[in-house]
Amino acid sequence: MVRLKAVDAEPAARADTKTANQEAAATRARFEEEALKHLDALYRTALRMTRNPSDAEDLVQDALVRAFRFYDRFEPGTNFRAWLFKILTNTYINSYRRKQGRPQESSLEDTEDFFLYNQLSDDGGERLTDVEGTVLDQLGADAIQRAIDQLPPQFRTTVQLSDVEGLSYAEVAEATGVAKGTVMSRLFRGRRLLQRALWDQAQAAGFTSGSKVHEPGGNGVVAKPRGGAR
Amino acid sequence: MINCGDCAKALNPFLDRELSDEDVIQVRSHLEACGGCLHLYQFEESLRRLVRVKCQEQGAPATLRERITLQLAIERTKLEQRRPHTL
Repeated sequence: MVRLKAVDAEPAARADTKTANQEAAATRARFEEEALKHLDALYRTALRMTRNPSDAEDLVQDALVRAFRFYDRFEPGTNFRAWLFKILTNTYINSYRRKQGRPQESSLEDTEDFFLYNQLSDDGGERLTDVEGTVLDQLGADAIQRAIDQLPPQFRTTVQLSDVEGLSYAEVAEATGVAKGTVMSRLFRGRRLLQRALWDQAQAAGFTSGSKVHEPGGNGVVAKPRGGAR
Repeated sequence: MINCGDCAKALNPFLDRELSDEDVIQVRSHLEACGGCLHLYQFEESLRRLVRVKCQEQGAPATLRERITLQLAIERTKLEQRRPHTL
């Protein structure tokens, strides 16, 4: 009786295997489609973490292979994007951070809130309403990225995920494995440091420390042509 | 009604769309009434936009996309070969 049962069960088991295989294949195909939508964001974030294009590529690839293998642990209905960034962060911490040795000390000075607004607005009382036409507007993507790269690591990733990739506080908390309150305080400090770093980039690019660049005869400050500095 | 100090403190969470509906109303009505805070708000918003737009110009290299597609295909094959034995 026992033997008969076992024989009978076999075709059913094979059919189960087949369905399970098909299901697994469909699930993994869906993973690939969904995950690749976030490839640009993952790469940009990896680049801020490693500050090195070749390490960033390896990091994203490793993270996506891990995410693929653990995809059955992802709970449908929860936030897929935050889950991917969480795996990226963990992969970085486990495999890459060690390789990079001690993080370089940041020399950024902390500043007051709304540093750039205060710096760029005229003493005479005219207040700006837009970065357009200011020295900041002259900064290229590479200079802005360099400014973010100058933030200490925990602030850098948090600012990147929030201000560039548009993750919510809850998503950043999930992605970086900290409480929401920690995300908020990191953003608070990180954005202040970023304003200082952007200002440093504008000065390094040769835009002098006056306010506006487009006002002939304003206060005599003229922007140097792009690439003219250094 | 909140004052300028409260408004300045709430500005970043407001830009992040992380304030409660009640607080959003408070900030909005302050911004409508206070030109100074409105300018600051508009400036900070334009700064956020600048950083976001410029940084998003960069995407992943096409070769990375190809590498990953290939790697995931290999992973899928491994998975298919392993599955009957694990069941």
